[in-house]
Amino acid sequence: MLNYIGRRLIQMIPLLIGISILNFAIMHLAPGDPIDLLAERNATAEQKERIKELYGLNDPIHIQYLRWMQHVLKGDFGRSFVDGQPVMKSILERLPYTLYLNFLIMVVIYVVAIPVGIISALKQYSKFDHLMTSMAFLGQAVPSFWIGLILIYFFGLKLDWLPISGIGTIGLNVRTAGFWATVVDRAAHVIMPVTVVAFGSMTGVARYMRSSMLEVIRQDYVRTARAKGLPEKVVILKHAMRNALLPIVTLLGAELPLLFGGMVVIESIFSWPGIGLLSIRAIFQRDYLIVMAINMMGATLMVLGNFLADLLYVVVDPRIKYS
Amino acid sequence: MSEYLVEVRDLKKHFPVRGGVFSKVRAWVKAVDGVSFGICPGETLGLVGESGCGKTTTGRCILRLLEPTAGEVVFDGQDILQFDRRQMRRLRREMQIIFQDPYGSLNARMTVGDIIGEAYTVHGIAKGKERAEKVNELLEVVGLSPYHARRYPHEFSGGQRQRIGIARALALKPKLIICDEPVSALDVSIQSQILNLLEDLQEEFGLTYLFIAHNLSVVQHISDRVGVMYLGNLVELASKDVLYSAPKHPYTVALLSAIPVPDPDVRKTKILLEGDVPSPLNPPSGCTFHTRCPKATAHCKESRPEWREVTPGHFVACHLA
Amino acid sequence: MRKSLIMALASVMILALFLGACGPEAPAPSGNGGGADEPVKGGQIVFGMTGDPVIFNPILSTDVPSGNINSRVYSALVRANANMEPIGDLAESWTVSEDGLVWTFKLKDNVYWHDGTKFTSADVKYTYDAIRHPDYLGIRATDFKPITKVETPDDLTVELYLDAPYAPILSKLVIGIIPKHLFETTEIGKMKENPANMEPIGTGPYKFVTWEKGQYIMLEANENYFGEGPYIDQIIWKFYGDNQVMLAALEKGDIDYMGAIPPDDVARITEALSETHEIRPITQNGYTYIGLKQTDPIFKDKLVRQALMYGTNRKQIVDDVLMGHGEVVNANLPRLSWAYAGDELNPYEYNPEKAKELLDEAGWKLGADGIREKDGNKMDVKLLTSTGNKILEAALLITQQNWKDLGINVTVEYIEWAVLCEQYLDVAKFQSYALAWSLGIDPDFYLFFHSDAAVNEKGQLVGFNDVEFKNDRLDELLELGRTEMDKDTRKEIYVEAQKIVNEELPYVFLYANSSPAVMHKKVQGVTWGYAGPMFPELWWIKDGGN
Ligand SMILES: Nc1ncnc2c1ncn2[C@@H]1O[C@H](COP(=O)(O)OP(=O)(O)O)[C@@H](O)[C@H]1O
Ligand code: SF4
Ligand SMILES: [Mg+2]
Repeated sequence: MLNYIGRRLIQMIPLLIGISILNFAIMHLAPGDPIDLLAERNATAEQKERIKELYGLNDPIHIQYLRWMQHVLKGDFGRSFVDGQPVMKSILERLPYTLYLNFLIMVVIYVVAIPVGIISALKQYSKFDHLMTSMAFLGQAVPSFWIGLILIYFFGLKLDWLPISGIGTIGLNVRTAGFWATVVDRAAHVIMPVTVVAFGSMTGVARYMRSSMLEVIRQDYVRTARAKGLPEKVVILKHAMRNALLPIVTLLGAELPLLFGGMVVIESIFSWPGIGLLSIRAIFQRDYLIVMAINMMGATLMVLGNFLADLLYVVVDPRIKYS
Repeated sequence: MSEYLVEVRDLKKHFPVRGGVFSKVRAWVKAVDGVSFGICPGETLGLVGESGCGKTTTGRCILRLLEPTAGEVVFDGQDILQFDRRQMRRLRREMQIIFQDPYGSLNARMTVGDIIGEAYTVHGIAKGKERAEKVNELLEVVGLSPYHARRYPHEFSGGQRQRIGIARALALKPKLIICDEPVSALDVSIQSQILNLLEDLQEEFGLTYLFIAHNLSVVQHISDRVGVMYLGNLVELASKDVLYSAPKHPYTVALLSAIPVPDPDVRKTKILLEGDVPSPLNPPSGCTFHTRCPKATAHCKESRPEWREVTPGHFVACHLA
Repeated sequence: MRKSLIMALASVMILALFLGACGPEAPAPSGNGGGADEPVKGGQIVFGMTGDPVIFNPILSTDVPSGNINSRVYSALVRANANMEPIGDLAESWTVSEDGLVWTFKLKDNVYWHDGTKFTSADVKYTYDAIRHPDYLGIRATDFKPITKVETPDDLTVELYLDAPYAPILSKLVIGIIPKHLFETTEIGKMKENPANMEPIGTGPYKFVTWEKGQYIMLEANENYFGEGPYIDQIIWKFYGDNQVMLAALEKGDIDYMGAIPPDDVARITEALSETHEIRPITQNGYTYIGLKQTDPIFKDKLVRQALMYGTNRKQIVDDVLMGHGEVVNANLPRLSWAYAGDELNPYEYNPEKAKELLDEAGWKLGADGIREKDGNKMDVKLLTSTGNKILEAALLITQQNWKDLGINVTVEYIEWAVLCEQYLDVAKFQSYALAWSLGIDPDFYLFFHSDAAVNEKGQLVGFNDVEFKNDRLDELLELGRTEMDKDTRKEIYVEAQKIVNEELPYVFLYANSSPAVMHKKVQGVTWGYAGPMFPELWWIKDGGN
């Protein structure tokens, strides 16, 4: 097993290098140039050359790549062309908010969607199940910015139950307002964004759980459990649900990168200081080093997530063994 | 009548067929449509019929693993369809089932010991060390070893798994075991081992079997009496000797003609049934067999033959019998 | 996001951004009710902003949000009053030599940086020399090109030496002065990396407190400000990623000010907030236009360009797209400018019949397919524009239909800003494109339409004259306008220049919008000028915010 883990980890290195080369190449070969955006519009070609020189954009692309790689290996992701700040600093300023939001979203999704999926499987074709199906359709069909704006309009503005946007009331913190008041304030701010995203993605997980559960409760081993005279609760929770959760649990591993992923629309609507807006701005401004860092972070997490999913399989399913 | 351990009266199970966006019920599959028979204590009743004729459904309805649409299931003199959940759970100790598929019927995430022993815990019979001992005993009874208890089902072959399934069914010392094609999924070489095991166990524990199979040859050896099903109905029921030597229903006759005969000198006319089994969604009128029956008459199309006892203990549903 | 980006990048053109600063010459506040009330100290004002600022360094920043903060944290030598005329800021007074080549500024004596260091002429020299340095990475080098030398005879005197008389020079000096003692430690080429860009130290009325990225920025009153004020204790800008959400925040009272209310929402907001809020149209110091490549076989003919002006229903665009919150423009200087030609320009009122006559006269005859043609060439026009501007998109839809009615086949292509710059605008390769200009406070527009600001022999664009407009008389006037110091004479020059532009049409001029800004009435002492609410150090909160 350790052997397997070691091998998998080593295999990741060439993969990530490949991804980074591809990433670097695509970005530098794509039309649009940061210098055209940074320089004066009437800058002369000579001036632009000078600026390129100062930003280190004059060398052949493979030299630029190697230089970048060298720095990255030392943990230095460079500085933004636009604001001159270290790339990592800009990312780390926003990452906690992205993690915080995504983590809550994921908890809500799983805490709500799993029981919902199970209930609608057990009560297949019931009113509840039909409602679920309709909600799933809605969640997929209605754009999240629209739901977001509607929620803001009603709960933020008309009813005045919740703050409109942001992560907290400015100046309100544990020191100024005490622990619980702070918790309530932060919770009030996070309810709407979590609801909107969770609503959109929850239905997916719930449907997945439902079909997984439907499949499982048709299995003979569930009948076996019933035939043993187990109470229905035990049959469902122990025999059916645990097996139905298998694919969901491993899905969690694959969703690791999502935890770090920005959400441009949600961040825009709810003025959430996440990684999404940073990344979209960097893309439009061709701020290569920020884009590279975010992309590489995403790629690493994706690779790690897949690996984690494979490991989780072993944990939850005795049939699978790696060597 | 009360000599039966279990008696089924006019049992019906209809499944809904759904369709459309809102999964409305569009039609009903009459998987079992009025079946009556009884099984005496210590007896083995064979239940035979082509795949899809409703054997499994019948078996599961008896155990209430499926809720019958109508009819009665009388066990030890009580209509168990009236039982509530608690009564049903207690009844599980009396009736058990061995499934056809030795792969799907064992929970892959539980050890063999837990699979077999769980019932002890649930019914408060034994736990801990005592439970382990009982499990070990059972494993030995079915021809496995105590150390197998710590393993997971995927580590076993099909035949071994079926032994695990049998051990599990035996755990609560039931009176009745419904064997739903317990050997169909196994290699021919292993089939007779399992059949012998089942026979030995019957003798040892005084079990009563409802033995389901899809051809007559498998049940010939093990059964005392045999029932033949077609499209959700019993068409003939008789003691093994009578049924095999003097079948009355054209369908039984056809099935018998399909049994390979060990002695090549004995020539038999093999009756080929024409056409496919009609769908239970839309069964033929009159005698449901008339679309394929070589002896069918116009009358058969209109009138449904009654389930009659033509000679004592020999029941047939055919106008010509 | 994109919109703010485009705004940010369009403001590459903004020669000055100053939503106020302070000075004794500032006109007396003529703002919201209770003018008799005395200003009181205290309170807070909260602004909404749609983009995060980038950098708090006035010589490096190019975006509007950074400009808003910089203009309060930093002071400049001069700033503009409500009528776009330069007045003193850090400069007490100034004189210009007879030959117009040396400008001498006397600085105010009681000025301190927010960290307590005394402000001197060395800071001014450092700032201007940084902009003139070859490694300077900002966008203001051109503004300072006429300056050949900066001298500081003493701590309170700055002398600027020019290579030729240059009338617009004062308008370039509205740029904030940065502290030498904090920046001299970094090379000019690496100035962006200096930490003072993120925690700015200026001489302005407000001191920087904190910036939570993507959330808010907080400033507090500078008690040692050299001018009058500030009165309001605390200024906060809250970030909103979406205009509709910002509107909701305004209605709810989370913010006290929002600029540029989208046209569609003006009626609703006016209805909801006119009791409690001041709602004022802010006329854009700039305009939206369609640039026509003057060398293009279709557009080289003046008759065709005039036909397009007559044949574009610009009034409808203002009425239907801007919902009336804007005006049709006919030349390149804004109504706000003191040099605006106004009535003397041809208004080109919508007249499709006249447009068709002009096209006929120019030899473009209607073909069988409804598209005009001349010498076997079809009148096919490719119009480029950048993605993400809904209002411009709607305006171009109308334009496209109007031109089609004239027999011109227009294809509109929407291109991402970075690509539009690299492949079309910066290399001056296009047939036509639609964009907007934001302008500075001086009427000088040499860079826009002088033939020397077009494409040089090497094929490089050297100014903003990407349409390659060339008119000898206009060249002459634009040169004169830069050297002439007398304001009245300059006005005459620029009026004639505008008439030429209005007649010759390097662009199809479309509109200038005037989206309203909304400010809570609790804010008193506001001067509404060309840039919206100005001189924020003189604002105060009714009852001091209590
Ligand atoms: N859960 C179910 N839902 C719908 N139809 C079913 C279901 N289970 C069985 N059937 C149908 O009932 C009929 C009898 O099935 P079954 O009892 O499994 O037959 P057998 O065991 O004799 O092969 C078949 O047509 C089958 O398709
Ligand atoms: S009733 Fe008629 S159709 Fe049915 S089995 Fe008998 S003969 Fe055949
Ligand atoms: Mg079956």
